[in-house]
Amino acid sequence: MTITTTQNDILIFRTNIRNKKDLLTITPVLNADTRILHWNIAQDDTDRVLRVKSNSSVLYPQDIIFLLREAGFFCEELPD
Amino acid sequence: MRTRDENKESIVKVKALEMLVNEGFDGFSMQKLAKAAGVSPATLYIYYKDKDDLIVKLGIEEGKKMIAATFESFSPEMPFAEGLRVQWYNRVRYCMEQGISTCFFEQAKHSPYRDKITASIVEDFKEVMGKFIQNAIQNRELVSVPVEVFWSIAFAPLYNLIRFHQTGKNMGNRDFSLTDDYIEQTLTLVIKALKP
Repeated sequence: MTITTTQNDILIFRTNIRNKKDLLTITPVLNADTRILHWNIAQDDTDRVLRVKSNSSVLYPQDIIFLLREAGFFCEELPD
Repeated sequence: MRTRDENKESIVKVKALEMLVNEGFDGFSMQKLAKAAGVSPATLYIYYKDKDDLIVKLGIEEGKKMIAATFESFSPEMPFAEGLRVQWYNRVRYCMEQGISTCFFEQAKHSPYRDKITASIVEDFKEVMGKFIQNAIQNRELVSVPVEVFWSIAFAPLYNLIRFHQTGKNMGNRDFSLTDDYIEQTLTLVIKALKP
């Protein structure tokens, strides 16, 4: 049996956040958005995956992409 | 809209265990796992925050299964010899049936993930075993010794037999296969050694 539940509150991105300096730049930007509950970067992944958990469905992938690009980083949603 | 599919999730877990055991923790990556499990990396990151999160979560889940298997039909109120016998057979069955989980645990024990994994499972274990040992000492069925000494006598002999069985050879490189006779003989000596 396949049980399928929707998972709207987690967004996954490919980025170029590579080092501590990049992390320091992006941390205040992401922390400032109150729609974001938790975020982390999988630093050992070649895609430097950014995982964002939000508290509502009003946070769209475009919002995160916009935030990161504004801060000077590459960011695109990882396709399913 | 993203979906969470429990079938996919269990395939991911099985593949992850296989890869972690066969390639080691260092050689493991989310990208490789995604390929092997036939899912997208994005799907993996829906389930787990990152590689570390996956290893710790898997460790805790497998740990809980191992504890449940060890305590099947067991009660800390049992007479000592009976309780120990139940646990021995439970532990043997678990090692034989869940070979891959057993290997995974051996690796995890010697990895930096050890503390995070054991912190979440050790309490369940301690409580039941503590009661069992306490009762046995009170009923004069068990000598009072430090827990490390107890474990080294009560369970290490069993795991040594299991190791012989799993390599298929004894210490002298002779073929070996574990039977109930070996278990019973060893268990009888263990119980004798632990009597006050």
